[in-house]
Amino acid sequence: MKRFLILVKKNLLRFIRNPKTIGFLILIPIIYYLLLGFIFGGIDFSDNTSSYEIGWIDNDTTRANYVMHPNYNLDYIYNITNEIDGINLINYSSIGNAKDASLDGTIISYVVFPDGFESYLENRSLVNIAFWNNDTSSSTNYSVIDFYISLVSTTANIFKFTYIPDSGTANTIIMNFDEYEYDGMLILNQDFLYGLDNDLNINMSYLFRNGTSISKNYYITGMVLSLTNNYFHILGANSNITIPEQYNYDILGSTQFTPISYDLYFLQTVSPAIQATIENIIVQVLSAVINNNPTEIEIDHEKKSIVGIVVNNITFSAPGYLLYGPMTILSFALVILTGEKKEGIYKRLSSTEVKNWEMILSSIVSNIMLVFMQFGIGALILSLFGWNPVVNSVFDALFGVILTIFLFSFLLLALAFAFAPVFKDPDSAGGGVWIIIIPLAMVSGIFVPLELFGEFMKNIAAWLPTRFAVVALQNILLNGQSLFYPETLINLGLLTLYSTIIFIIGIRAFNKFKK
Amino acid sequence: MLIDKNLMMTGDRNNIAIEVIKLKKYFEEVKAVDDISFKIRRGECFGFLGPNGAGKTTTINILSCYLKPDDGTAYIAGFDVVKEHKEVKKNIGIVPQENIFYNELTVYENLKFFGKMYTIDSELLKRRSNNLIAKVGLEEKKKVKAEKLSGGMKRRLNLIIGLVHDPDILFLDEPTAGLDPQTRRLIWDYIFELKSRNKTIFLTTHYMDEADVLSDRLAIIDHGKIIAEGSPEYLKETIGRGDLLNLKIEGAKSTLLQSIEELKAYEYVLDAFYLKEEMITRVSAMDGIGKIGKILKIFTQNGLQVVDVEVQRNSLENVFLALTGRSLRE
Repeated sequence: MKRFLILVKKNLLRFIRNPKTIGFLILIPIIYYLLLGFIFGGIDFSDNTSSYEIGWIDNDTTRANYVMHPNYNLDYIYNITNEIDGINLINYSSIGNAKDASLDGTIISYVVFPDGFESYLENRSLVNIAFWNNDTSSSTNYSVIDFYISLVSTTANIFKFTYIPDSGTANTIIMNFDEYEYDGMLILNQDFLYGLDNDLNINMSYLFRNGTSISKNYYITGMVLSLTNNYFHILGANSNITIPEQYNYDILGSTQFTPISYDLYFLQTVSPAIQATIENIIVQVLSAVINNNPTEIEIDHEKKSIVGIVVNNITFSAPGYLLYGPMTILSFALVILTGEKKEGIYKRLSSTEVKNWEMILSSIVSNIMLVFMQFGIGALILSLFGWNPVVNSVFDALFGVILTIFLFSFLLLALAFAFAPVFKDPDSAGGGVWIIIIPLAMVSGIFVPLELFGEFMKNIAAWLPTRFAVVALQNILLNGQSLFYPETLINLGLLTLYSTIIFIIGIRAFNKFKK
Repeated sequence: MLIDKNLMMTGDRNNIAIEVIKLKKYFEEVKAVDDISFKIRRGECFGFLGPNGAGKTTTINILSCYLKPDDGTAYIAGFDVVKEHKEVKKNIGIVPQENIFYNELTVYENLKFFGKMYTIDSELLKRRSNNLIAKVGLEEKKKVKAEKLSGGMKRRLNLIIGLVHDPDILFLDEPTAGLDPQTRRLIWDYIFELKSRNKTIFLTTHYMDEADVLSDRLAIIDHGKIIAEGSPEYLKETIGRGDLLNLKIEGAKSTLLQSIEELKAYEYVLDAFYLKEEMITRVSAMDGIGKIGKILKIFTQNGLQVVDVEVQRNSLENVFLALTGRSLRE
């Protein structure tokens, strides 16, 4: 035992004293965490993948007028959305049913529309404008009332005007704008009629609700000015009517309408890249269908997790990144094993009293210690970038992570023993090992989320030992599941089985190679 | 096979450090070690010579339990190299041809590490390591990483690692290969000291002078077989071109030629002839130096006068060449 501990100590001492190995085992994974991980984590491969199955839950009991506003009808929106490539919608009667379907793998996401959705759209379909005549001058040629009636009748399908009878009411509305449902207030300024009579350039004011988009404001003022100028020019006026910049401003203290919001649920295991793809499609389609005119009805959505919380990009990718780090131990161990053989270390050691199992076990233990050291540094770095593991019990998670990393390291060391006789010397091992590492990392979801793969690659990935580790670690660090969750246990069991078989084969081959 | 029967050992196993009996090791078609047998006494330095690929390293690998023989057996300090690994390893120290240690560890750490592989008590190990470091002049480099040492220093470290557990039997594989004369001398001195402490040394070397100076007995191996065995003196006296005597003789030429013919009749005379251009008579004779009186007498008896004698001693190099048909470095 003492000899074994000295061997472990020697291995660690060699590691610490060698800047190259520190760089190799610590710095390279860090660079990968920061660069490659982010790059791959953000890539959208959706063009090459099959459709995403998405649930559709219509909880709305109100119905918009289908003749007037077919585009506000959720069934209509459903049909349009379903025609989009990459999206397959499935109707569910309740959130419960959709949740069950997502947990059994039928869908990866679902969208829920609240009660009152269609009526909200209908209510918000017209731009609601208060009309106040602030002009005290008078004219025998022109009538404000006639102008107002003309305005209302010609814009009925776009604007809903409300006549404000006096300045007191107008001021009350402006002071308490949020208590009213107006989008803005159109004001005929002082000397409006006088100006018309005398062919002077005159102006109006348009005060709008805070947060109104520039395009909406531009559209409204443009429409109003066009109609107004047109109306008075027909009556013989030569005035140019404008809404100057200083009379076109947002009302102090007013706030945006609280838009109606629908919910978009995702499984935690769906990568942020895919979540973003689905979210974009839904938002774009709803916006295009509902707001096919410039009324810009405000609708919002909230992203939610089907189980637990919504995770950020780094948290989603962290289990894979954290497993990539230990993968470099395969290269490190292979270089050491083939190097020690080439340098004659095994030969010299075998002339001493040291036993073969002590050499093998010390190599495994010291390398696993390095993996945990590297894992700790990796976790710290990812935490600085916002990694926030989703765990139910810290103890459970810690135990689960330790076990998973241990088994994963054991697998990698078993591979190192098995492949040392193949590569024979450290130079070819250092380069050739990437033939093993890259497919194992790329096809197991360590860098590229498996959801982005086609069925064929998914089937291959399902049998890769690295995939077992990824699934187990995702369950523990992303889904907040206990180590004893059946899927986690099965994956760890398979990982153990693979590792043991490869280890037995590897050790036999390695012992021959050593001689 | 030529064997110096005077030095053959019988009986007393306690006095025998290494005993090899009909040892065989084949690598597919190659007979690396082909039925070799020899014995080495305790305290003896045994030179094991042979060209590259002759089977030297394979023999050492078997004797140090690294390889299993295909047939035959060998005993180290009375322990079977196949069945009693543990005891054999306790008794042997290996100094490989290549420098084998950990470059990242210091001189002292390397010694400590390899010492611990023999489960030596810490205090004893510390004392012994310091002694060994001092003996080979590495005190100033004790805390220096092995990778920072010069070639000669590395060789010295390589040597003392094999001695850290104070083994009775040492396998030195080319211990001075590529070293400067000063370091070579230092290592020779240390080997002499080991001999004086009754350590058994199994030495392979490419340097004939080294084998000649250090070895009590030699075996020459070629194509896996031992083709000669004996003390350096014995081998030089019995194998090769013998000693060369260049004689300057005055007198009648016909008498000289007659005397040369007379000389050739002697068994120990390998060759004799007159070199006309140099005007000398060259005699090649086994143990020519020992027989110089007899040789000169033949000429003087016939009335000739020997005015000058130049002697070239037979060398192990010549012995080796005669036995294997090639030089040791080929």
